[in-house]
Amino acid sequence: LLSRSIANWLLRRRQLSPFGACVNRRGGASAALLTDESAPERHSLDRHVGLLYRPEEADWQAVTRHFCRPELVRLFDTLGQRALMVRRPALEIGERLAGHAGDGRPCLRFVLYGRRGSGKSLQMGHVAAACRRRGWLLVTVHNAHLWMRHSRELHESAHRPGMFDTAGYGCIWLRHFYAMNQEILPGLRVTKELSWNAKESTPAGSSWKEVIDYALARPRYSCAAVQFLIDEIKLGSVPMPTLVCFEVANCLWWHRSGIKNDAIRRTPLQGEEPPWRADITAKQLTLLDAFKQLLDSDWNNGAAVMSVSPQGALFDRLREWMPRKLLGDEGFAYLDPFVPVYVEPYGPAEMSNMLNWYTESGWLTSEAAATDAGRAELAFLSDGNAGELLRIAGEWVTC
Amino acid sequence: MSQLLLGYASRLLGCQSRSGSAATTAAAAAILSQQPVRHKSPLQKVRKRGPFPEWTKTDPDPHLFTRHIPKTDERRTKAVRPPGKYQIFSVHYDPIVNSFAGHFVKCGERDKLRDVFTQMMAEIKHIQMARRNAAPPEEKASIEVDPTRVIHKAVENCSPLLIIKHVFRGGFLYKVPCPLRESESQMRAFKFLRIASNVRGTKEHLYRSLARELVNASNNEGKAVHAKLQLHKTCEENRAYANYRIT
Repeated sequence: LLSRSIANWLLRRRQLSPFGACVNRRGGASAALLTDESAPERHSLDRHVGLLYRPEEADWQAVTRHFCRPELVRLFDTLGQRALMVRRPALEIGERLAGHAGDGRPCLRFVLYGRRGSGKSLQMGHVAAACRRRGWLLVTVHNAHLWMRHSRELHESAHRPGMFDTAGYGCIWLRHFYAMNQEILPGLRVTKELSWNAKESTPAGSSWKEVIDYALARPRYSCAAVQFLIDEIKLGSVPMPTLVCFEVANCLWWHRSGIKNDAIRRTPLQGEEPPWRADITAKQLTLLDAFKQLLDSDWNNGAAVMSVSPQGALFDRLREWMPRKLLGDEGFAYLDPFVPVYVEPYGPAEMSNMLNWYTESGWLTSEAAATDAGRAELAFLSDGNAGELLRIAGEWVTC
Repeated sequence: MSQLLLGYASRLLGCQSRSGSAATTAAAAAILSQQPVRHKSPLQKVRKRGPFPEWTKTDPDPHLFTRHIPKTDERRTKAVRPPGKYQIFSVHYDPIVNSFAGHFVKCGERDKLRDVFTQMMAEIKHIQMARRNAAPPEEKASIEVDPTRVIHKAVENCSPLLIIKHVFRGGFLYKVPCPLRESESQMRAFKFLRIASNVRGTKEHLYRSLARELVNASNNEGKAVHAKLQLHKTCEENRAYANYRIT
C-alpha cells in the first residue's frame, strides 16, 4: 500500500514538471496552431500570442529574411512553408510604437536581451515588418559584429579625419537599405548639398536614390554616403517615422577587434613607435559611428530597437547576457535611458505549439518524436531555448 | 569444426538480403566451404563471455528508486549486463548510430562530435527532402527521409561478408578470404564510410561530406560501397587460398 502511494506521488510529480503540460498534443486541429493573420501589425496580445503565422512573401523577402538565421531560412526552403511564432516582446514593442510617430517626441529606444538563441532577432524582425507595413522608413544593421572581426579593405577616412572607412561593407549596406525601402525612397530628397571631395558634390534637392547610386559607383565614398543619409534622418527631413534596428548593439563599444591598423598598407612615419599596430576600436570606424549616432536620443520622429547578445561579445564577456554587463559602463551611459525588453524562453504552450509545427510540417521524422516521451525529451534538452530547439529538431542525436 | 562452418554458412544465408545479392552470399558460402588446413591450438583457452542477458524493454522501468521495489521482485537478484559506457536510456537511442559516432571520436571529444552528428542528420534530411520534392509522385514514397533509417541502410550496404587476411606460408604471403563476425563487419562498414567522407583540406565540413556519403551508400552508390565491392572482388580472385585461413 505504501509503495503504491509513493509511486503515485512520483507519477504526479513527473506530470507537474515545467514541460509536463506540453507533452500531449493539445487541441485536435491545426486551427489552434496557426493563425490566419499574416500582417504583423494586426497581431494582438490577447488573441495571437503563442500562435504561428505565415509571413507574406513581400514582407519576407524585404525584411524578415534578414533577421533569420541561415539555418532557419534553409529549413523554410526545404519544407516549402514558413511559420514564425508571435510572441509577447514584439507585440509589446509594437503597441508602444503604434502611437509614437510624430508629435516631436525624441527617439524611443528599446533593448532586447536574453540568452543566446532565445529569439531576439526574430522579435526585431516582427517589429520591423509591422513598421514597414505602417509606412515607416527602416534602417537595419545585422552584421556589425562581423564588420569588427574581419575587414580586408580599410581606408583612412576623408570625411572624418582620424577614422577609417570600410568601403565594402558600406556598399553592401547601401544595397540592402535600398532593397528594403524601395517604395519609400523615390519620394525622399536631400536638403543639404553633399560634398564628396573638393571637386565633386551632389546638390540639395536630389533624391536619395541618386546619392546611393553615386556611392555604389564610387565605393570609396560609401561610408560618407551613409553618414550623409543619417544626418538627413536626424535633421528631420524625412516625412515618415524611422525605425532603426541594430542587432548585437554591444559591439559598438568594443575596445578590441579582429582588425589591426596595419591592415592599411602604409609605411610607418619616421620615428613612429607602436601602437600604430594596435587594434582598431569601434570608435574608429566611420560606419559604426554613423549608426551609433542614430541610437542617440537627440533626434525626433523615430524609434530604435536594439539587441544585446553574447554572440557579439568579446572574449572577456562571452558568458554574460544581461545588458549592463554586455554594454559596459560606456555603452550603458550612452543608451540610458532605454526600455529593456526581456525575450524569455518558450513557455509550455509555446513549446507545445513549436513541437506540433515541427511534427506536422514533417521536419521531425522519427517515430519517437511523436510520442509523449520524445516530446518531453526534446523540451528538456532545449530547455525552452528557441535556437537550441531548432538545432536539436534537426535530429537530436543520442551519442 | 563443421559446426563452426555451419554457423558461418547459416549466418551468410540468413543475411542474404543484407548485401542485396543472393549471388554474393552464395559465392561467399562457396569460398568458405573449403576446409581450413591450420587450426588454433586446442590448448588455447577460449574465453567465454558471460551468459548475462541485456536489459530488455519488457522489463520494468529501471529509473524507479530501489527502495520502492518489493523484496520478492526479481529485479533485486536478476543478473544483467551493466549498461554500456555510452548507452543512453532515451526513446531515440539507436545502437548503430551510437557505435558509428564512437568510430569518429578523436581524443575523447565525443561532445564535439555530437554537434557534428546533429548537423549531419539535419543535412541528410535536407538532401533527401529536396530529392523527394523534386521526384515524380510514384517515386516519392520510396525516398527515405529519416536519417536513422538512412544510416542503417548505408551501413548494411557497406558491410562486407568476407575479408582478406594475410597468411605467411612457405615463404610466400597469401591473401586469404576469411569470414567476419558481425561486429567486425559493422566496423569495416564504418571505416569505409569514414574514409570515403574524408575531404582533403578544409574544403568541406565533415557533416556535409558524411551526409552525402551516407545518402549515396543507402542507394548502393558512392565510394564506400565501391570499396566494399572491391574487397569482395579480391576475395573472389583469391578463392583458391581460402583453405589457408587460420581458424
